[in-house]
Amino acid sequence: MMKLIDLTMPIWEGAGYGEILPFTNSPVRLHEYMYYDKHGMRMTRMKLDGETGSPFMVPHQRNPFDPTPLQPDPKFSWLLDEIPLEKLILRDTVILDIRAPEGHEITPDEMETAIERGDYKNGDEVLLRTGWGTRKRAYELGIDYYKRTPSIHFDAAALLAKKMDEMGSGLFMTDCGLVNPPSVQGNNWFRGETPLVPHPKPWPSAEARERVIDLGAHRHGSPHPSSYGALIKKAMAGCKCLVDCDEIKQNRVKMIVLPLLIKKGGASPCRFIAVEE
Amino acid sequence: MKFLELTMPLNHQWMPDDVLPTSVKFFLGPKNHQEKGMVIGSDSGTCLTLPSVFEAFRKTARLDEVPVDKLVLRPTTVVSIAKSEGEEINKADVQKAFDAARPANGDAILIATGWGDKPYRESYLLGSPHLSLEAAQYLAKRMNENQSDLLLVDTALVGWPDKHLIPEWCSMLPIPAAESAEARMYLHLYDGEKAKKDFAAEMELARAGIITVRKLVHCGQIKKDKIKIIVSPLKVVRGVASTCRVVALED
Repeated sequence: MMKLIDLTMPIWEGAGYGEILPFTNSPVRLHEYMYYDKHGMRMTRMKLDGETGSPFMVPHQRNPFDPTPLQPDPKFSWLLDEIPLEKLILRDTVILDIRAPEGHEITPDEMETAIERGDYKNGDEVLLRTGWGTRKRAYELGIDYYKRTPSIHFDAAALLAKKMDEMGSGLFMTDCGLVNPPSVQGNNWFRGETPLVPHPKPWPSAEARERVIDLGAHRHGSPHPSSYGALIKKAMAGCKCLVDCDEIKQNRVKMIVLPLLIKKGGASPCRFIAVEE
Repeated sequence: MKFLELTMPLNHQWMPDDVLPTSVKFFLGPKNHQEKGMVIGSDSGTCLTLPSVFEAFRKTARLDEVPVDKLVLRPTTVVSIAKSEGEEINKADVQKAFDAARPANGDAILIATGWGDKPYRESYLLGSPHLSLEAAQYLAKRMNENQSDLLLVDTALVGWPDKHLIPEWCSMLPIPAAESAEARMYLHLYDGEKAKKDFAAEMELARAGIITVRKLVHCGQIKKDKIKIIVSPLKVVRGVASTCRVVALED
Protein backbone atom coordinates (compact mmCIF):
# COMPACT_ATOMS: atom_id res chain seq x y z
CA MET A 1 0.00 0.00 0.00
CA MET A 2 1.52 3.31 -1.09
CA LYS A 3 1.64 6.10 1.48
CA LEU A 4 2.01 9.78 0.59
CA ILE A 5 3.57 12.09 3.18
CA ASP A 6 3.54 15.85 2.74
CA LEU A 7 6.82 17.35 3.97
CA THR A 8 6.04 20.91 2.85
CA MET A 9 6.28 23.89 5.21
CA PRO A 10 3.00 25.82 4.88
CA ILE A 11 2.98 29.49 3.86
CA TRP A 12 1.32 32.16 5.95
CA GLU A 13 1.64 35.88 6.49
CA GLY A 14 4.34 36.49 9.05
CA ALA A 15 6.04 33.14 8.42
CA GLY A 16 9.52 33.35 9.83
CA TYR A 17 12.08 33.28 7.08
CA GLY A 18 11.30 36.52 5.26
CA GLU A 19 10.72 38.27 8.57
CA ILE A 20 14.09 37.43 10.00
CA LEU A 21 16.41 37.79 6.98
CA PRO A 22 15.18 40.94 5.28
CA PHE A 23 18.36 41.87 3.43
CA THR A 24 18.30 38.74 1.29
CA ASN A 25 14.60 37.94 1.49
CA SER A 26 11.19 39.54 1.51
CA PRO A 27 8.38 38.66 3.91
CA VAL A 28 5.12 36.91 3.06
CA ARG A 29 2.29 39.38 2.58
CA LEU A 30 -1.18 38.19 1.63
CA HIS A 31 -3.52 40.93 0.44
CA GLU A 32 -7.16 40.09 -0.11
CA TYR A 33 -8.63 42.19 -2.89
CA MET A 34 -11.92 40.32 -3.28
CA TYR A 35 -13.76 39.38 -0.10
CA TYR A 36 -16.44 36.92 0.92
CA ASP A 37 -18.66 39.59 2.45
CA LYS A 38 -18.50 42.01 -0.47
CA HIS A 39 -17.81 39.93 -3.58
CA GLY A 40 -19.08 36.53 -2.47
CA MET A 41 -15.64 35.12 -3.21
CA ARG A 42 -12.02 35.49 -2.20
CA MET A 43 -9.02 36.44 -4.32
CA THR A 44 -5.55 37.04 -2.93
CA ARG A 45 -2.46 38.91 -4.06
CA MET A 46 0.45 36.94 -2.62
CA LYS A 47 3.82 38.62 -2.07
CA LEU A 48 6.30 35.78 -1.61
CA ASP A 49 9.99 35.13 -1.98
CA GLY A 50 12.07 32.46 -3.66
CA GLU A 51 12.81 31.10 -0.18
CA THR A 52 9.27 31.15 1.19
CA GLY A 53 7.99 27.96 2.84
CA SER A 54 10.09 24.94 1.89
CA PRO A 55 12.23 26.40 -0.90
CA PHE A 56 13.92 24.82 -3.89
CA MET A 57 17.07 26.75 -4.90
CA VAL A 58 19.39 26.02 -7.81
CA PRO A 59 23.06 27.11 -7.86
CA HIS A 60 22.18 30.08 -10.10
CA GLN A 61 19.67 31.21 -7.48
CA ARG A 62 19.62 34.88 -8.46
CA ASN A 63 18.21 34.26 -11.91
CA PRO A 64 16.59 35.64 -13.99
CA PHE A 65 18.21 38.94 -13.06
CA ASP A 66 21.76 37.89 -12.20
CA PRO A 67 23.32 34.77 -13.75
CA THR A 68 26.13 34.63 -11.18
CA PRO A 69 25.99 31.30 -9.31
CA LEU A 70 26.21 31.31 -5.51
CA GLN A 71 29.51 29.45 -5.79
CA PRO A 72 31.91 29.51 -8.74
CA ASP A 73 31.87 26.55 -11.14
CA PRO A 74 28.86 24.67 -9.76
CA LYS A 75 28.40 21.08 -10.88
CA PHE A 76 24.83 21.75 -12.09
CA SER A 77 23.50 24.75 -13.97
CA TRP A 78 19.83 24.02 -14.67
CA LEU A 79 17.33 26.78 -13.96
CA LEU A 80 13.84 26.04 -12.64
CA ASP A 81 12.27 25.65 -16.07
CA GLU A 82 15.13 23.57 -17.44
CA ILE A 83 15.20 20.70 -14.95
CA PRO A 84 13.95 17.47 -16.55
CA LEU A 85 10.87 16.13 -14.74
CA GLU A 86 12.68 12.83 -14.36
CA LYS A 87 15.01 14.60 -11.92
CA LEU A 88 12.11 15.77 -9.75
CA ILE A 89 9.53 13.03 -9.65
CA LEU A 90 9.68 9.72 -7.80
CA ARG A 91 13.36 10.18 -7.04
CA ASP A 92 15.04 7.46 -5.02
CA THR A 93 16.12 9.16 -1.82
CA VAL A 94 18.25 8.08 1.10
CA ILE A 95 17.43 9.41 4.54
CA LEU A 96 20.48 10.42 6.56
CA ASP A 97 19.44 10.50 10.19
CA ILE A 98 21.15 12.87 12.60
CA ARG A 99 19.00 13.56 15.62
CA ALA A 100 19.86 17.16 16.40
CA PRO A 101 18.51 19.19 19.30
CA GLU A 102 17.72 22.88 19.20
CA GLY A 103 20.66 25.06 18.13
CA HIS A 104 22.97 22.13 17.41
CA GLU A 105 25.54 22.43 14.60
CA ILE A 106 25.91 19.03 12.94
CA THR A 107 29.55 17.95 13.12
CA PRO A 108 31.66 16.11 10.53
CA ASP A 109 31.73 13.02 12.79
CA GLU A 110 27.94 12.96 12.99
CA MET A 111 27.70 13.40 9.25
CA GLU A 112 30.16 10.60 8.60
CA THR A 113 28.29 8.23 10.89
CA ALA A 114 24.95 9.09 9.24
CA ILE A 115 26.40 8.43 5.80
CA GLU A 116 27.86 5.09 6.94
CA ARG A 117 24.60 4.00 8.54
CA GLY A 118 22.36 5.23 5.75
CA ASP A 119 21.36 2.91 2.93
CA TYR A 120 22.99 5.30 0.45
CA LYS A 121 22.97 4.04 -3.16
CA ASN A 122 24.44 5.52 -6.31
CA GLY A 123 22.18 8.16 -7.82
CA ASP A 124 20.19 8.69 -4.64
CA GLU A 125 18.93 12.09 -3.64
CA VAL A 126 19.60 13.06 -0.02
CA LEU A 127 17.20 13.95 2.78
CA LEU A 128 19.09 14.96 5.92
CA ARG A 129 16.64 14.44 8.79
CA THR A 130 17.11 15.87 12.26
CA GLY A 131 13.51 15.39 13.37
CA TRP A 132 13.50 18.97 14.68
CA GLY A 133 11.59 20.61 11.84
CA THR A 134 7.87 20.28 12.35
CA ARG A 135 4.89 22.29 11.23
CA LYS A 136 3.70 22.56 14.84
CA ARG A 137 7.03 23.96 15.97
CA ALA A 138 7.12 26.48 13.09
CA TYR A 139 3.62 27.71 14.01
CA GLU A 140 4.53 28.01 17.68
CA LEU A 141 8.00 29.56 17.41
CA GLY A 142 7.50 32.10 14.61
CA ILE A 143 10.80 33.86 13.86
CA ASP A 144 12.48 32.00 16.73
CA TYR A 145 12.19 28.88 14.58
CA TYR A 146 15.14 30.17 12.57
CA LYS A 147 17.09 31.39 15.59
CA ARG A 148 16.86 28.01 17.30
CA THR A 149 17.09 25.61 14.38
CA PRO A 150 19.76 22.95 14.18
CA SER A 151 22.12 23.54 11.28
CA ILE A 152 25.20 22.11 9.59
CA HIS A 153 28.79 23.05 10.37
CA PHE A 154 30.79 23.93 7.26
CA ASP A 155 33.11 20.93 7.59
CA ALA A 156 30.14 18.56 7.84
CA ALA A 157 28.51 20.17 4.81
CA ALA A 158 31.76 19.88 2.85
CA LEU A 159 31.96 16.19 3.75
CA LEU A 160 28.40 15.56 2.58
CA ALA A 161 28.95 17.58 -0.60
CA LYS A 162 31.96 15.41 -1.46
CA LYS A 163 29.93 12.25 -0.86
CA MET A 164 27.01 13.55 -2.94
CA ASP A 165 29.41 14.28 -5.76
CA GLU A 166 30.83 10.73 -5.60
CA MET A 167 27.38 9.14 -5.45
CA GLY A 168 25.91 11.20 -8.30
CA SER A 169 23.29 12.83 -6.09
CA GLY A 170 21.52 15.96 -7.25
CA LEU A 171 19.04 17.06 -4.60
CA PHE A 172 19.97 18.07 -1.08
CA MET A 173 16.97 18.29 1.26
CA THR A 174 16.81 18.88 4.99
CA ASP A 175 14.35 19.62 7.77
CA CYS A 176 16.75 22.16 9.28
CA GLY A 177 15.30 25.67 9.14
CA LEU A 178 18.67 26.97 8.02
CA VAL A 179 21.57 25.07 6.47
CA ASN A 180 24.12 27.61 7.66
CA PRO A 181 24.40 28.02 11.43
CA PRO A 182 22.15 30.90 12.56
CA SER A 183 25.27 32.75 13.76
CA VAL A 184 26.54 32.69 10.15
CA GLN A 185 23.28 33.29 8.28
CA GLY A 186 22.07 35.93 10.72
CA ASN A 187 25.49 37.33 11.46
CA ASN A 188 25.19 40.49 13.55
CA TRP A 189 21.54 40.69 12.65
CA PHE A 190 19.67 38.22 14.83
CA ARG A 191 22.73 36.19 15.97
CA GLY A 192 26.49 36.64 15.97
CA GLU A 193 28.52 38.90 18.24
CA THR A 194 26.38 42.02 17.93
CA PRO A 195 22.79 41.13 17.02
CA LEU A 196 20.39 44.03 16.66
CA VAL A 197 18.07 44.45 19.62
CA PRO A 198 15.15 44.89 19.34
CA HIS A 199 14.90 42.85 16.19
CA PRO A 200 14.33 45.16 13.18
CA LYS A 201 11.30 44.94 10.94
CA PRO A 202 11.48 42.96 7.69
CA TRP A 203 12.28 44.36 4.28
CA PRO A 204 11.99 47.21 3.40
CA SER A 205 12.75 48.55 6.89
CA ALA A 206 15.34 51.27 7.29
CA GLU A 207 17.68 48.83 9.03
CA ALA A 208 17.36 46.27 6.26
CA ARG A 209 18.09 48.86 3.61
CA GLU A 210 21.14 50.04 5.57
CA ARG A 211 22.37 46.48 5.75
CA VAL A 212 22.11 46.21 1.96
CA ILE A 213 24.10 49.45 1.65
CA ASP A 214 26.82 47.92 3.85
CA LEU A 215 26.94 44.37 2.53
CA GLY A 216 24.87 44.15 -0.65
CA ALA A 217 21.73 42.07 -1.01
CA HIS A 218 23.38 38.65 -1.14
CA ARG A 219 25.92 38.45 1.68
CA HIS A 220 25.49 37.47 5.29
CA GLY A 221 28.82 39.11 6.15
CA SER A 222 30.06 36.37 8.46
CA PRO A 223 33.80 35.60 8.49
CA HIS A 224 32.90 31.90 8.61
CA PRO A 225 32.44 29.95 5.37
CA SER A 226 28.95 29.05 4.13
CA SER A 227 27.82 25.47 4.71
CA TYR A 228 25.11 26.00 2.14
CA GLY A 229 27.76 27.22 -0.30
CA ALA A 230 29.68 23.96 0.09
CA LEU A 231 26.58 21.91 -0.68
CA ILE A 232 25.15 23.95 -3.54
CA LYS A 233 28.45 23.76 -5.40
CA LYS A 234 27.78 20.03 -5.87
CA ALA A 235 23.95 19.91 -5.86
CA MET A 236 21.33 20.46 -8.53
CA ALA A 237 19.25 22.20 -5.87
CA GLY A 238 19.33 22.92 -2.16
CA CYS A 239 16.05 22.47 -0.29
CA LYS A 240 15.49 23.35 3.36
CA CYS A 241 12.70 23.85 5.88
CA LEU A 242 11.02 20.54 5.14
CA VAL A 243 8.76 19.50 8.01
CA ASP A 244 7.40 16.41 9.71
CA CYS A 245 10.02 14.11 8.19
CA ASP A 246 9.63 11.72 11.14
CA GLU A 247 6.38 10.58 9.55
CA ILE A 248 8.58 8.66 7.14
CA LYS A 249 8.99 5.18 8.63
CA GLN A 250 11.45 3.69 6.15
CA ASN A 251 15.10 4.56 5.56
CA ARG A 252 14.53 5.13 1.85
CA VAL A 253 11.66 6.85 0.05
CA LYS A 254 10.78 8.16 -3.35
CA MET A 255 10.43 11.93 -3.42
CA ILE A 256 8.19 14.12 -5.54
CA VAL A 257 9.67 17.61 -5.60
CA LEU A 258 7.79 20.31 -7.51
CA PRO A 259 8.86 23.96 -7.42
CA LEU A 260 6.86 26.55 -9.33
CA LEU A 261 7.65 26.60 -13.04
CA ILE A 262 9.21 30.07 -13.10
CA LYS A 263 10.73 30.90 -16.46
CA LYS A 264 14.51 31.26 -16.05
CA GLY A 265 13.95 31.29 -12.30
CA GLY A 266 16.49 30.34 -9.65
CA ALA A 267 14.45 29.77 -6.47
CA SER A 268 10.87 28.98 -5.60
CA PRO A 269 8.57 27.76 -2.88
CA CYS A 270 8.17 24.05 -3.49
CA ARG A 271 6.05 21.02 -2.56
CA PHE A 272 7.82 17.98 -1.15
CA ILE A 273 5.94 14.68 -1.06
CA ALA A 274 7.50 11.44 0.17
CA VAL A 275 6.16 8.23 -1.30
CA GLU A 276 6.52 5.12 0.85
CA GLU A 277 5.80 1.83 -0.84
CA MET B 1 7.08 5.82 -17.14
CA LYS B 2 6.80 9.11 -19.01
CA PHE B 3 6.41 12.50 -17.31
CA LEU B 4 4.60 15.30 -19.11
CA GLU B 5 4.69 18.96 -18.10
CA LEU B 6 1.21 20.52 -18.27
CA THR B 7 2.05 23.79 -16.47
CA MET B 8 2.02 27.29 -17.94
CA PRO B 9 5.40 28.83 -17.06
CA LEU B 10 5.31 31.91 -14.82
CA ASN B 11 7.09 34.48 -16.98
CA HIS B 12 7.98 37.81 -15.38
CA GLN B 13 8.15 39.46 -18.79
CA TRP B 14 4.67 38.59 -20.02
CA MET B 15 1.75 36.44 -19.00
CA PRO B 16 -1.23 35.80 -21.28
CA ASP B 17 -3.79 35.54 -18.50
CA ASP B 18 -3.77 38.80 -16.50
CA VAL B 19 -6.51 40.47 -18.52
CA LEU B 20 -9.47 40.87 -16.16
CA PRO B 21 -9.68 43.14 -13.09
CA THR B 22 -9.97 40.02 -10.94
CA SER B 23 -6.39 39.03 -11.78
CA VAL B 24 -2.94 39.96 -10.49
CA LYS B 25 0.15 40.56 -12.59
CA PHE B 26 2.89 38.02 -11.95
CA PHE B 27 5.95 39.96 -10.85
CA LEU B 28 9.49 38.96 -10.02
CA GLY B 29 11.95 41.45 -8.56
CA PRO B 30 15.73 41.25 -8.14
CA LYS B 31 17.22 41.02 -4.64
CA ASN B 32 18.27 44.64 -4.46
CA HIS B 33 14.91 45.96 -5.69
CA GLN B 34 12.45 47.78 -3.46
CA GLU B 35 9.77 45.27 -4.53
CA LYS B 36 12.06 42.22 -4.42
CA GLY B 37 10.46 38.81 -4.21
CA MET B 38 7.55 37.64 -6.31
CA VAL B 39 3.90 38.59 -6.61
CA ILE B 40 1.43 35.88 -7.56
CA GLY B 41 -2.34 36.02 -7.77
CA SER B 42 -4.80 33.35 -6.73
CA ASP B 43 -5.16 32.46 -10.40
CA SER B 44 -1.77 33.28 -11.93
CA GLY B 45 -0.80 30.77 -14.58
CA THR B 46 -2.00 27.20 -14.18
CA CYS B 47 -4.11 27.42 -11.05
CA LEU B 48 -6.16 25.39 -8.61
CA THR B 49 -9.43 26.67 -7.16
CA LEU B 50 -11.12 25.09 -4.17
CA PRO B 51 -14.88 25.28 -3.62
CA SER B 52 -14.07 27.44 -0.58
CA VAL B 53 -13.13 30.30 -2.92
CA PHE B 54 -16.87 31.06 -2.80
CA GLU B 55 -18.53 32.44 0.32
CA ALA B 56 -21.30 29.87 0.02
CA PHE B 57 -18.77 27.06 0.49
CA ARG B 58 -16.28 28.77 2.78
CA LYS B 59 -16.66 26.09 5.44
CA THR B 60 -15.08 23.50 3.14
CA ALA B 61 -11.38 22.54 2.92
CA ARG B 62 -8.58 25.05 2.49
CA LEU B 63 -5.26 24.60 0.69
CA ASP B 64 -3.40 23.39 3.77
CA GLU B 65 -6.16 20.88 4.54
CA VAL B 66 -6.60 19.13 1.19
CA PRO B 67 -5.50 15.49 1.61
CA VAL B 68 -2.40 14.95 -0.45
CA ASP B 69 -3.77 11.84 -2.15
CA LYS B 70 -6.47 13.96 -3.82
CA LEU B 71 -3.76 15.76 -5.77
CA VAL B 72 -0.75 13.47 -6.02
CA LEU B 73 -0.53 10.41 -8.29
CA ARG B 74 -4.28 10.64 -8.73
CA PRO B 75 -5.70 8.28 -11.38
CA THR B 76 -7.19 10.47 -14.09
CA THR B 77 -9.32 9.96 -17.17
CA VAL B 78 -8.59 12.21 -20.12
CA VAL B 79 -11.75 13.43 -21.85
CA SER B 80 -11.25 14.95 -25.28
CA ILE B 81 -13.63 17.72 -26.36
CA ALA B 82 -11.95 19.57 -29.24
CA LYS B 83 -12.89 23.25 -29.33
CA SER B 84 -11.64 26.32 -31.15
CA GLU B 85 -11.46 29.98 -30.20
CA GLY B 86 -14.51 31.27 -28.36
CA GLU B 87 -16.47 28.02 -28.66
CA GLU B 88 -18.74 26.83 -25.90
CA ILE B 89 -18.65 23.32 -24.48
CA ASN B 90 -22.29 22.33 -24.22
CA LYS B 91 -24.11 19.59 -22.36
CA ALA B 92 -24.17 17.26 -25.39
CA ASP B 93 -20.38 17.62 -25.76
CA VAL B 94 -19.86 16.63 -22.14
CA GLN B 95 -22.34 13.75 -22.31
CA LYS B 96 -20.79 12.30 -25.47
CA ALA B 97 -17.20 12.65 -24.21
CA PHE B 98 -18.00 11.32 -20.74
CA ASP B 99 -19.84 8.30 -22.16
CA ALA B 100 -16.94 7.54 -24.50
CA ALA B 101 -14.23 7.97 -21.84
CA ARG B 102 -15.94 5.79 -19.19
CA PRO B 103 -13.91 7.07 -16.23
CA ALA B 104 -13.27 4.68 -13.36
CA ASN B 105 -14.92 5.44 -10.06
CA GLY B 106 -12.98 8.15 -8.22
CA ASP B 107 -10.90 9.21 -11.22
CA ALA B 108 -10.04 12.86 -11.69
CA ILE B 109 -11.27 14.21 -15.02
CA LEU B 110 -9.02 16.11 -17.45
CA ILE B 111 -10.89 17.88 -20.27
CA ALA B 112 -8.57 18.54 -23.21
CA THR B 113 -9.97 20.96 -25.78
CA GLY B 114 -6.69 21.70 -27.54
CA TRP B 115 -6.81 25.38 -26.47
CA GLY B 116 -3.80 24.99 -24.19
CA ASP B 117 -1.75 23.51 -27.05
CA LYS B 118 -1.86 26.69 -29.09
CA PRO B 119 0.90 29.30 -28.77
CA TYR B 120 0.18 32.05 -26.27
CA ARG B 121 -1.38 35.13 -27.78
CA GLU B 122 -3.46 38.13 -26.87
CA SER B 123 -6.75 36.24 -27.21
CA TYR B 124 -5.68 33.47 -24.80
CA LEU B 125 -8.14 34.45 -22.11
CA LEU B 126 -10.92 36.32 -23.92
CA GLY B 127 -10.95 33.77 -26.74
CA SER B 128 -10.93 30.72 -24.52
CA PRO B 129 -13.40 27.87 -24.98
CA HIS B 130 -15.55 27.46 -21.87
CA LEU B 131 -18.36 25.47 -20.32
CA SER B 132 -21.97 26.59 -20.69
CA LEU B 133 -23.88 26.72 -17.43
CA GLU B 134 -25.92 23.70 -18.48
CA ALA B 135 -22.75 21.79 -19.34
CA ALA B 136 -21.23 22.67 -15.96
CA GLN B 137 -24.38 21.46 -14.18
CA TYR B 138 -24.34 18.22 -16.14
CA LEU B 139 -20.61 17.72 -15.62
CA ALA B 140 -20.98 18.28 -11.88
CA LYS B 141 -23.76 15.68 -11.79
CA ARG B 142 -21.77 13.10 -13.75
CA MET B 143 -18.64 13.70 -11.69
CA ASN B 144 -20.61 13.39 -8.48
CA GLU B 145 -22.10 10.09 -9.64
CA ASN B 146 -18.57 8.99 -10.44
CA GLN B 147 -17.18 10.17 -7.09
CA SER B 148 -14.78 12.40 -9.01
CA ASP B 149 -13.86 15.57 -7.14
CA LEU B 150 -10.99 16.91 -9.24
CA LEU B 151 -11.51 18.56 -12.63
CA LEU B 152 -8.65 19.76 -14.83
CA VAL B 153 -9.17 21.78 -18.00
CA ASP B 154 -6.85 23.22 -20.63
CA THR B 155 -8.99 26.32 -21.07
CA ALA B 156 -8.24 29.76 -19.62
CA LEU B 157 -11.68 30.01 -18.03
CA VAL B 158 -14.14 27.41 -16.72
CA GLY B 159 -17.36 29.33 -17.38
CA TRP B 160 -17.87 32.58 -19.22
CA PRO B 161 -18.33 35.75 -17.12
CA ASP B 162 -20.45 37.54 -19.71
CA LYS B 163 -23.10 38.99 -17.47
CA HIS B 164 -20.95 41.77 -16.04
CA LEU B 165 -17.22 41.19 -15.99
CA ILE B 166 -16.32 40.80 -19.66
CA PRO B 167 -18.81 43.24 -21.23
CA GLU B 168 -18.25 45.92 -18.63
CA TRP B 169 -14.47 45.61 -18.42
CA CYS B 170 -13.89 45.22 -22.13
CA SER B 171 -16.16 48.14 -22.99
CA MET B 172 -13.44 50.44 -21.65
CA LEU B 173 -11.01 51.18 -24.44
CA PRO B 174 -8.13 50.80 -24.23
CA ILE B 175 -8.80 47.94 -21.79
CA PRO B 176 -7.14 48.91 -18.51
CA ALA B 177 -4.47 46.72 -16.94
CA ALA B 178 -4.97 44.33 -14.05
CA GLU B 179 -4.20 46.02 -10.71
CA SER B 180 -4.71 49.45 -12.27
CA ALA B 181 -6.69 52.22 -10.61
CA GLU B 182 -9.54 51.32 -12.96
CA ALA B 183 -9.36 47.70 -11.81
CA ARG B 184 -9.56 48.75 -8.16
CA MET B 185 -12.54 50.98 -8.94
CA TYR B 186 -14.24 48.22 -10.93
CA LEU B 187 -13.88 45.76 -8.04
CA HIS B 188 -15.12 48.41 -5.64
CA LEU B 189 -18.38 48.46 -7.59
CA TYR B 190 -18.48 44.70 -8.25
CA ASP B 191 -20.53 42.75 -5.70
CA GLY B 192 -21.61 39.26 -4.74
CA GLU B 193 -24.76 39.34 -6.86
CA LYS B 194 -22.76 40.14 -9.98
CA ALA B 195 -20.18 37.46 -9.09
CA LYS B 196 -22.93 34.85 -8.70
CA LYS B 197 -24.04 35.50 -12.27
CA ASP B 198 -20.53 35.71 -13.75
CA PHE B 199 -19.22 32.65 -11.94
CA ALA B 200 -22.38 30.52 -12.10
CA ALA B 201 -20.64 27.63 -13.88
CA GLU B 202 -17.76 27.62 -11.39
CA MET B 203 -20.26 27.67 -8.52
CA GLU B 204 -22.10 24.64 -9.89
CA LEU B 205 -18.87 22.68 -9.76
CA ALA B 206 -18.01 24.06 -6.32
CA ARG B 207 -21.46 23.11 -5.03
CA ALA B 208 -20.67 19.53 -6.03
CA GLY B 209 -17.43 19.72 -4.03
CA ILE B 210 -15.24 19.69 -7.13
CA ILE B 211 -11.74 21.17 -7.10
CA THR B 212 -10.96 22.79 -10.44
CA VAL B 213 -7.56 23.26 -12.09
CA ARG B 214 -7.45 25.38 -15.23
CA LYS B 215 -4.98 26.81 -17.72
CA LEU B 216 -3.25 23.47 -18.33
CA VAL B 217 -1.03 23.56 -21.41
CA HIS B 218 0.27 21.02 -23.92
CA CYS B 219 -2.31 18.35 -23.06
CA GLY B 220 -1.98 17.25 -26.69
CA GLN B 221 1.21 15.41 -25.75
CA ILE B 222 -0.84 12.99 -23.62
CA LYS B 223 -1.25 9.85 -25.69
CA LYS B 224 -3.24 7.68 -23.27
CA ASP B 225 -6.69 8.25 -21.88
CA LYS B 226 -5.79 6.88 -18.44
CA ILE B 227 -2.98 8.69 -16.70
CA LYS B 228 -1.88 9.72 -13.23
CA ILE B 229 -1.75 13.36 -12.36
CA ILE B 230 0.23 15.40 -9.84
CA VAL B 231 -1.11 18.82 -8.89
CA SER B 232 1.03 20.89 -6.52
CA PRO B 233 -0.44 24.20 -5.39
CA LEU B 234 1.26 26.42 -2.84
CA LYS B 235 0.42 25.24 0.65
CA VAL B 236 -1.07 28.51 1.86
CA VAL B 237 -2.58 28.38 5.33
CA ARG B 238 -6.35 28.85 5.01
CA GLY B 239 -5.85 29.67 1.32
CA VAL B 240 -8.58 28.93 -1.22
CA ALA B 241 -6.81 29.13 -4.60
CA SER B 242 -3.26 29.06 -5.86
CA THR B 243 -1.00 28.87 -8.86
CA CYS B 244 0.20 25.27 -9.20
CA ARG B 245 2.39 22.86 -11.07
CA VAL B 246 0.68 20.04 -12.98
CA VAL B 247 2.46 16.97 -14.28
CA ALA B 248 0.99 13.90 -15.98
CA LEU B 249 2.45 10.41 -15.63
CA GLU B 250 1.92 7.93 -18.45
CA ASP B 251 2.75 4.27 -17.92
